[in-house]
Amino acid sequence: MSEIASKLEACGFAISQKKYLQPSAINALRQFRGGDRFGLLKAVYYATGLLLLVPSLRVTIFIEATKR
Amino acid sequence: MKFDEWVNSLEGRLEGYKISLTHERFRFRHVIDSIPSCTSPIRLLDIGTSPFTLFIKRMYPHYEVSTLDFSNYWEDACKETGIKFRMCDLERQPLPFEDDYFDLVIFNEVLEHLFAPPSRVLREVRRVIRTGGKIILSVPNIAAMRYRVVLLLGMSPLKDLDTAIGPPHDHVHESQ
Repeated sequence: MSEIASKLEACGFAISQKKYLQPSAINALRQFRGGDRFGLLKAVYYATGLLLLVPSLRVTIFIEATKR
Repeated sequence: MKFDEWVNSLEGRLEGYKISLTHERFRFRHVIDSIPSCTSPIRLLDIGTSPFTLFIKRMYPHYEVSTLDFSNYWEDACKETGIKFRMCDLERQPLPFEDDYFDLVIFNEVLEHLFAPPSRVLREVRRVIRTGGKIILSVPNIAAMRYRVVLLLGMSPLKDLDTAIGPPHDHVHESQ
């Protein structure tokens, strides 16, 4: 996260928001109901406290920045 | 129209995207929340055309929505929905827009597909955004739990470049 954020800053952007994202457990359960046989496993995985406590383990880096 | 309703209403060529759109819902939701809701039209560029581009136009029909992609796969769908489509190879070509043109650029899950230096691409994106304008950027997290687990199991989380190179989903940064 810090790498891409610093690149944005070096290119003339001011970071206004940055965070790690992950799918919700509820969404994974929906997929399970929709036929994804790994959906239940994913739901447990996304609901684990580890991912909630350590955001850097989540799947997506999301940044919002403003041009200076 | 809400995102889920729109996904469920997809038909024909777009129907095949239901699963991936649903799976990526968490990411799209954050992008939607970050798009300013204005009564006056704003100029918005979505780099890397996808069904989500069509949703943005549907959600904000009065916005001037532009998009670019390295193939013309989405060109007809964009024209039908009033989106300005341009073909552009970000690795080799400048963005086909004048300086300070856009209020908002959405640059999601594209940077990791490029072989060009990220700073060079970001500077070019900055050029077309007006001062005070926004960029919304997302990339996959190479340090995510699932990749760490795969590494622990002695496997590479990187895709096999012999088979993965080529559109639409060659993740360059994951391979470096």
